[in-house]
Amino acid sequence: MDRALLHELRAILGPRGLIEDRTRRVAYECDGLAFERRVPELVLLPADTAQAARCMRALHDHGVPVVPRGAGTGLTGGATPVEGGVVIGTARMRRVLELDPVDRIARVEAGLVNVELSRAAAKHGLFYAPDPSSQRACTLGGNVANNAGGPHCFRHGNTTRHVVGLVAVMHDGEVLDLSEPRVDPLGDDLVGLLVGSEGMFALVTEITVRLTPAPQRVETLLAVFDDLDAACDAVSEMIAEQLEPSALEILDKLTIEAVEASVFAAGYPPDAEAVLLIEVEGSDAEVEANSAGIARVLERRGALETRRATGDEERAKLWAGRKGAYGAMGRVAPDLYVTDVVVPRTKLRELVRRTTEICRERGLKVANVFHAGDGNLHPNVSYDRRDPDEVARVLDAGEKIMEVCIEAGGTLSGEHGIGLEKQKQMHLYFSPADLDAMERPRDVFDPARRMNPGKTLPIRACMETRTRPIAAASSDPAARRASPDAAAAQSTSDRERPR
Amino acid sequence: MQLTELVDYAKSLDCVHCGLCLHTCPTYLLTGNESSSPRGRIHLMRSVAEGAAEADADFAEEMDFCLLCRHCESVCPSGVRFGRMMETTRAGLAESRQRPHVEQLARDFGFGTVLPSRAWLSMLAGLARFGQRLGLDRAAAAFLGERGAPIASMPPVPPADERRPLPRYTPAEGEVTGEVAVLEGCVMPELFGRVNRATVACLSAAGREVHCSRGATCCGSLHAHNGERALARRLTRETVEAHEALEAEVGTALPMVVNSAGCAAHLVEAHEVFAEDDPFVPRARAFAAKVIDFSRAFDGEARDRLAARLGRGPARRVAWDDPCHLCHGQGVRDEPRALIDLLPDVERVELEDSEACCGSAGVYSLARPADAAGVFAPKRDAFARSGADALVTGNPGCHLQWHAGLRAAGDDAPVLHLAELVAERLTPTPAGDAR
Amino acid sequence: MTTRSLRDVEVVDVLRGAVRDGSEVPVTAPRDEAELVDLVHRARRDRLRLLPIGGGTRVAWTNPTDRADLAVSTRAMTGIVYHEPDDGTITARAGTTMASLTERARAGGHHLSPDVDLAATSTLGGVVGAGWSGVDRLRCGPLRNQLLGTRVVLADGSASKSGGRLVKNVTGFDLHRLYCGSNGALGVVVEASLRLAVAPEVVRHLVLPLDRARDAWELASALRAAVAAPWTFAIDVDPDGSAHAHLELAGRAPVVQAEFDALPRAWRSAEVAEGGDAARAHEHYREGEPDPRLGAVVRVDARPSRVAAAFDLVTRAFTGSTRPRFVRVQPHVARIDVRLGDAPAGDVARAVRELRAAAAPVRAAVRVGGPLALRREVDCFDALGPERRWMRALRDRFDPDGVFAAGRGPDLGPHVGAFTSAGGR
Repeated sequence: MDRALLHELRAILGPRGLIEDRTRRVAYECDGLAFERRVPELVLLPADTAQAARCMRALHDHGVPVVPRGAGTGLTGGATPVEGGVVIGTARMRRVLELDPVDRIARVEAGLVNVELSRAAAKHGLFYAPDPSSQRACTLGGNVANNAGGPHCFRHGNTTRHVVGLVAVMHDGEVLDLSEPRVDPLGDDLVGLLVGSEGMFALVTEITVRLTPAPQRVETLLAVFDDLDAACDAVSEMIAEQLEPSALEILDKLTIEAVEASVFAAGYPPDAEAVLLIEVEGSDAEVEANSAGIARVLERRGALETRRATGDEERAKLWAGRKGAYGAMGRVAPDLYVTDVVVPRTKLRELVRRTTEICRERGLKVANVFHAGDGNLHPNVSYDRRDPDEVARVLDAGEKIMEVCIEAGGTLSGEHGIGLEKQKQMHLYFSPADLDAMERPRDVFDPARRMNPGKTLPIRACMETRTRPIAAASSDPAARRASPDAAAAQSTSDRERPR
Repeated sequence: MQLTELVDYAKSLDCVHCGLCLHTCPTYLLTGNESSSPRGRIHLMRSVAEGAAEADADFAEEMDFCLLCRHCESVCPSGVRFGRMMETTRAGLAESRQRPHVEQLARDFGFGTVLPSRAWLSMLAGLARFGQRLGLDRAAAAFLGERGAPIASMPPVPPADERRPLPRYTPAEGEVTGEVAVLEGCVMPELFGRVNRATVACLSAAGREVHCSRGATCCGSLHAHNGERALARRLTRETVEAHEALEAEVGTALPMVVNSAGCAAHLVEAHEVFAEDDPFVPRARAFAAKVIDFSRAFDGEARDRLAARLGRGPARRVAWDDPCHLCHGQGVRDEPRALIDLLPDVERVELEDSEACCGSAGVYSLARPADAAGVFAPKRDAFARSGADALVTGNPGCHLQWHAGLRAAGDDAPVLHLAELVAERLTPTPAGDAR
Repeated sequence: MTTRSLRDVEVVDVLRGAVRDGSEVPVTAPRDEAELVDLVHRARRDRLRLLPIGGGTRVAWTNPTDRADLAVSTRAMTGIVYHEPDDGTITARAGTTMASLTERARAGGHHLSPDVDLAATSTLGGVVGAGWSGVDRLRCGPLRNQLLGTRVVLADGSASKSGGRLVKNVTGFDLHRLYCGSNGALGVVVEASLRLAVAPEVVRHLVLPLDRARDAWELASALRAAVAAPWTFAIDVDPDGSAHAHLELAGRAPVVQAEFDALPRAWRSAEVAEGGDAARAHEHYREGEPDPRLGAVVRVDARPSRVAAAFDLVTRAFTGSTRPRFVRVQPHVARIDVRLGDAPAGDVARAVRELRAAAAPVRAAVRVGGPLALRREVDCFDALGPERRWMRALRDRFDPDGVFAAGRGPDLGPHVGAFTSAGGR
């Protein structure tokens, strides 16, 4: 790192605002995707937009790559500094700047944790609708970068529907203030374009969001099935019948077992093959009308039992189990690969079955826990990253799942984003012309390719798609010695990892 | 040095890097630095074990920075036992690293000499009281600057009379509902003799015959937290043996009531301090099963008996602050609240983020006063917002931290141990004064 | 101005009021994407400037362009590409009219949002290009919430998609959000996918006469507290100052009934229409949306808490010769539409400039539509801040040679020439 730059950054941020020693920087070498890692050259933790802007200006002048990071809970490697450079974390930017209960908006700093926003809004009978399972840790800035979803996005839509303004620091340090919420965008919808751009267009530092009035009544139902297919069919039928629950989640047997063994034990029946977690919200009349329709479908589809959560506490417990499911899978194996694909909701049963087969054919343990109402599948594959053969099988299964879903009219990601994980598969869904079009805003917002480089869009040359091999395999020295494949992979790993 | 000695590698693999722990971590909230978060620290431990990072001074500092509040364990879906991992890592570091000579001497003296010894503890308490009466504490604090902050904010050491030991046996008041032992502790009798006596008074009022062993002083929890593993094992063993001896003497199995959440959290897992194949493990395990926090000592009949003895007391609006080692370490959350709700003239209000650490963390607030104060700041604000006029806790460290923290902020609201709050409402009986 | 390359282009219509000098622009309507691509290539080669339009219905809401050689309408590219009622999505070619899309969605049991006025001539592509939301936006949200993906032909003749036809999709950048409302300046939308909404089981249309327009604010805040999600709510003010409130409740029968029962007292004297009457009342209400082809219109958007303040400013700005003919206020959407009829362009322009100056402190946006004479006098859009630099750069990157007629949207400052990319190194 250039000494002059370092000096400048220290002056901007003060001693608590930057992390220089290598040991501490190691904590920033990856996010929730542990396949690929690289230690950043420096980590910056600005305290506000002004500091962030000064840092960005300095980094621009020195041509240093920038990787924005929220809480590092992403699952696609979006916050991993694969091409080196500096990580800018928003962890010290956590203020609620404005909360207007009349206009039902809040203006917050990007590092605010998702659940804290709802907590602040609750005092005014409002809430922030997108609720990723990691909502107790993930930041609004990270949500914006990935256009994050969550169970309740079935009714309320992903993050982009709720973001009505932004403050972004551009690649050259310019502060773009689009924070005023507008009925319609003035000029081009830059806010809409920045949401979901995975940190490649700008560093978002402040966000204006729409808040939603808390429903008069919320009811949570837990339907128990002895057959995963039947649970899927029940969901497809609810969609076809235009029933309007606010969330429709399926958890399969393996997930139930893991959750029930964790601190988030929710009382899901351990002998069920699948449970369907349904939430209905609205006015009394709305909840009753919907619940009645749902009950009919559940009965037709052979639900063994339907439990109705009576109190807030019981409801909270059922949801804590669902939202802790990913972490709870940690009990099954040391590492976890969770993919995120979307399929038409008419084909749920077929594709859940197919993805499960794909994993089983490769000798992998897979658990399904997913946003069924949106057709958003999350096969959770457990593995041990120290076993290079297993890692290879996991990646192979992941690719096959994506292929199969796209063939069926699906897409690569419903809420996690592309990051590093799915870069290589982008060509399955997009043509070269589509991808070229996506490079255009990038030329504008990041002409030097310094903003979160190496993500999302595949690196292409001569119309050929090529990406760096994901998963440089194990970093365990013992495993490396054990396997010749791993030794070959190590050369990649060395390239990615400066000593 | 073996890496596995330094880091509990197998346990570090339980972490799937989901990050749900981040925002429970006081040091992460303080700095925004992920290497100061549970996930980050585990990542560092794992990197050290895998040879991808050095166990250098920065690593050691990051491990020392942890308050070991175990809040992260309460939210970890993978069931990572972070506290145990950190103890292992600190033990590994304690053996391998060179501390400055003076610091090492002070550590050895504190952990190895003072804490295990009633005589040393009493002498120092006497000395401290003497110093406080002469105003030497303020002079010393001024001299030491920031590091002297804990001295200045230390509560007055009570007079010798209050520091007298608990009686070895206290009879039940009225009909006997059972027999229990209480842990007198190391620092408790010196600084919180009144809490110990209140504890005994409450138990006695509830119909318990109360025994107190003289055979052990410190239970070793502070040692375990701070990487002094050999001493921790010795002291834990002594505590177990003393209890066994007491049981033999009384002739029956005795539940061990502990009014210090930190000690109880350590003792309910007493067997885990020892190597798995240590022949002592079964004895420690049997002992661990008998340990209960003060708030849980009143079930069924005892609770009714206690309730019947409660009368009016000073009207208070109290906030219960969950000690980390009670809620996260032992999963005890409802019982203290239920006990408070039993009390006449006491209104209980919830404290926002009551499960967040107050920054005491055993000797942490002495070793790192600035960080401890930083961790405490949001607690103080939450207390101010709560509208309570007294703070109730169940751990001596938290007690000191709250006392000092509120005083430093110009707030003279009383800080009470739960036992004190209950005891001040016990109706006097001819048998003796609750105080 | 017909050049060599345009001689064999089939001209189906002429477009008026789109070019600053008042000239008419010939309109061609390619039948498919290939024809459109061919046209774009020819325009590039011959340095012609194309003006992309849909049905041409909302051209009078945009600034006149300096030069356009040929208007390209996608109106002939019709047809539904994919409609899966059980998945709740519809994909159609750009020229499909909103009326026929609505019809198709209804047949599948859905409501199509946006529910726009002039649906018979409005095309899907035009609505996306204009970023036009419907009268149902209070309940269903703006168009951008329904837009799942687009296929566009860009200035280099390439065709590309973004998004898709799935209800949840974060794959790739949301370029469709950028195309939505860009008035065809970045590319021509040839296909779009929309998420379908649940069709309401019943609709109840209420009309409540108000003694004074001032009562509107109280009515609005009481309603907001009482009913979670009305379908539409507006207050129409006639030139004589008389006003009436429109409210539509829609959804499942018991829900509508419950909402109806929960209405504040004031609504008891409302005239209530149901069934076919409600449908007719809805049509009537929808066609009360401002149409700049019929005269000057001014649209003021603000935050809900500032609508009343904005309304006062509107009242003060338009007096005398610019006295409003009709005002529609949507307090919850936070929008005020003012129809000024045939008020003299110069007077309207002056009043709008005054209004813009006065509205800046309450951060209200002021948009203008109307005859060319007016749009030559005053910018249809507010002046932008520093963000225009980035919009300018996007334009220059997407259309470096100026194939598409520029200047219809907000003023982005001078064209800086072909964008030279430092990327792709």
